[in-house]
Amino acid sequence: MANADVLDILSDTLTSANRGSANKDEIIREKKKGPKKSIRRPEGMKREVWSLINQDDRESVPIVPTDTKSGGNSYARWIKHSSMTVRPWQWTPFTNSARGPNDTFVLYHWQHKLDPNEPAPEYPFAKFNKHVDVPTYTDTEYEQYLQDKDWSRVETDVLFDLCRQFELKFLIIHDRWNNILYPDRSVEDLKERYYTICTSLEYARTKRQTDKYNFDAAHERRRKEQLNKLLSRTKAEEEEELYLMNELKRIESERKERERIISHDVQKFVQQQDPHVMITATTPTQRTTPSSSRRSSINQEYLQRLNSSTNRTPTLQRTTTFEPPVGIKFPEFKRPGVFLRSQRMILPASIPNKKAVVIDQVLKQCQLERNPMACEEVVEEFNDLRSDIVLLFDLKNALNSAEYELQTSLHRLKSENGPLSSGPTSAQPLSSGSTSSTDNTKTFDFLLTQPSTPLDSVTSPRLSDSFEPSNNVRSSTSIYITMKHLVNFVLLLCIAHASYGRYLADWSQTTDEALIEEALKKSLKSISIQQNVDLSQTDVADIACETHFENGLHIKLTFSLEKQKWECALYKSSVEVIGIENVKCEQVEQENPPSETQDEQQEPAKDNEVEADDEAQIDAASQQNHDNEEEHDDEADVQQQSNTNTEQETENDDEKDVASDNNEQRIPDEENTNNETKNNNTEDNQESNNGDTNNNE
Amino acid sequence: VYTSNQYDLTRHFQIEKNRSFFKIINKVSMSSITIEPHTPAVFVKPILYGNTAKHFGTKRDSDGHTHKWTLYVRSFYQEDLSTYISRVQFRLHETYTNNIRVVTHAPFEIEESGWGEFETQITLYFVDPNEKPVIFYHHLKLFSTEPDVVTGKEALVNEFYDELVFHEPSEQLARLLICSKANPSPVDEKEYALQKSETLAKIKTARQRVKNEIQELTERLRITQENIKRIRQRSVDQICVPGTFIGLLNEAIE
Repeated sequence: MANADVLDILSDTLTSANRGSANKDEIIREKKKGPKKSIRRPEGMKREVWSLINQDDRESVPIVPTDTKSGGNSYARWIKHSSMTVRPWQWTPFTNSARGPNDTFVLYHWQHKLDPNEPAPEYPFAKFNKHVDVPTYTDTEYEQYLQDKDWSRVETDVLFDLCRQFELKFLIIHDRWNNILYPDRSVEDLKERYYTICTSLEYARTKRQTDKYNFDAAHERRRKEQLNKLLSRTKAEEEEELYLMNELKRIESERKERERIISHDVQKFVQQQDPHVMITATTPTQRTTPSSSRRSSINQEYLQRLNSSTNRTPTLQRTTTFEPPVGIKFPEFKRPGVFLRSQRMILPASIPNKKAVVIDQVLKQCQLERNPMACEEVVEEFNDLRSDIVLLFDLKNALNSAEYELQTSLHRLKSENGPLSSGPTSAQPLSSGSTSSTDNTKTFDFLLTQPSTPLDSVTSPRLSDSFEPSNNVRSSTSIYITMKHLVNFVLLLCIAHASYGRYLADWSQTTDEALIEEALKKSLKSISIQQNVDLSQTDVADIACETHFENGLHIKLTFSLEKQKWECALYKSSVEVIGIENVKCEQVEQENPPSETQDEQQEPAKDNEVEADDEAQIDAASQQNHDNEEEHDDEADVQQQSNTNTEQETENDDEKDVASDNNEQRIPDEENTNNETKNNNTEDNQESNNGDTNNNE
Repeated sequence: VYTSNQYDLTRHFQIEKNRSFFKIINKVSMSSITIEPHTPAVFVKPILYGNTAKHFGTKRDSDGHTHKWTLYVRSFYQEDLSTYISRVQFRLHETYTNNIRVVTHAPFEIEESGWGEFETQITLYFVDPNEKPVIFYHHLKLFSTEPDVVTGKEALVNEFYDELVFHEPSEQLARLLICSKANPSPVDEKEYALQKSETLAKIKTARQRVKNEIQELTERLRITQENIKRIRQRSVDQICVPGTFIGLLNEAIE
């Protein structure tokens, strides 16, 4: 800008002729500049005003497209050539040719004064008067191609007439449609008829299929209805929808996050577990897929790989360069120099503090110090151990997120199941293992309220249990559940379940052979671990099994083993994949109480049991129907280790005594062993009787 | 490294013709050396470092010192470290005069007295000047709960085992490293062998435990993932069955 000013100032006074010294470049420039001369400022105008108007292409690039006639300087040139007087305007009459040739309507407007010999220009807006070509058909054509059962000839003619008249503006045509004479037609109907005729005519005349008149009436109808619905939403509905959309977005992002965690860790695990498996380069890219179908396919792929990795025989080709398991990469020393062995054991700084803490915890549990003595083997093993610990931690996280994912999927399934509850789509397969569940939603409810982790008290407390749940992604659970329809549904079920489920200790007999066998196996396993004795199934006699469904299938298995009664409580989750898990196994009612200690062990257990069972007994007792056998079973099953007189009650079969006897029982547990043995003996007989009856059933 | 040698080769060839002839030969000979693959020479020298501390019995009034301690570095095999270590620098707490003590001959140790524990830095300088010195830290331990130590009868020993690993030392250093090798003292050897085997056993059991848990968790993870897949499958089926209308509505709402 400044340059232009200076040049301008100078160029007024300094032409090339005036210049004394001949600058070689200027002369060259002048010669080149011939055809493209810059326009000079008119004398009357101020320099600044001229520079605003004068557009120099070299200076700036405009954002808005500007007029490019005469190098963008058309206005400047016009100013220059104008004589600085106003152009004359004239009040002239004109006609609009678009109105038709027979039009005599004359209007007046201001126009520039025209030269008298030039012809009057056409009214500029006449060219916008476009017409639509509506095809016409002959009678023969109509009879041949255009017949339709819904449309009479007359109607069709009227339609086409209207189309011609209103230039295919179907809304107007529809409005003009004569409802009285002809049946009521919607806009889509009219359009449909028109376009089908057009296509048929086109085909008939040119024998070629065209796509010119594609019209999907059904689609249009749906679309309009949808739009209507959209328009007629109430404010509340609209807000709700917005809210739901936000929720959905958030949940989707969290799910993606979880997927990433899971897949990441699974991938790491796969690398760790089987070094023979060649990890393809596609694994990292699988993290970024949004749609659910692809997600499930990814999971499938991982599962496949997991399966294949476990199924493969060890004769696979070895990867020549086996990378250390993805856990921690410890500093390696390859360059020449001297190092201390212990330097190899330093935990790299890349390990986040959380993981370092976890490692310390686990080491402490294993009674290892943080830096053991630094010889070669120890260093190797120690580093590998820490790597494994990190891997375990990651796996635990992945498992947590996977379980959470499971729960939310069930939520979704349930919510979809609820509003669309139609007959065939029932979720039976999930709960097929439970004998007394009838309500699908009940299983879902269970899954909602409890994670599907198996209870395994037999093994020592796990190292992985010391990891704190670090999953921040769970924060949305509470918000998710507050969705309107889900809340009502779940609340109702919870109330129902809570009020009835717990207090009906509804143990029912089962004769499911497979179940009994499995339960027995598990119990034996746990017992044998407890006692370090190998037991086989043949040692067992008098097997009785009861089940009760409450948040999963609780199984109570009683059997006698080497002259000792055992009672085992097992649990089977409704997800039916973990299988039966053993909760506890206890010895019940020895025939010959050998030592005090054992009795004492039973006593405190009984203390706890009695309280819980009292209510159950009362209910059970109050439920007594006239079927004695059922009483037998119920009551025998309800008392686990408590030495009660209920057995005697059933023998007496006297309802009035129930209450009093129950009261007597409550005093109970300070009872001496004599009473115990006596009861035990009677109970034993009862048990064996029950066993017989059970077997007979 | 190889490619850079090549580049050097061409460059030298272009610019300095006379002098470069000798250099080229040198480079070529060097590159020919590096082409051959050879196993890296590694020498391992186990050392022991740490401190002993003994209580005076009384607190010395002049400076409040209560313990006499010795900070040392010695070889596990009772060999002479000075064959390959030129000097050892002990860096003590700032409150000591001349807190950077250098010992240039065997035994490489510092005897001092004091009243408190602090972290010391030990630097080993090697005979070969091309080797970088090795630095490590040791927490000087004075106090203990064992009754013998407290009364001042026994000295407290806080010793660590470590190994100096020499990667591809120069020829002369290698020679020095090879020649010095003596017998370990029986006490040391037994004690550390025991410690080593114990530690190793513990680590192995820990690893086993961790491996088992990993197995377990993987199984559960796999099961859970299968379940998720199943549920997703079912939900997809459910959506399809009642008709596209509801699906459309859902789409519309979104």
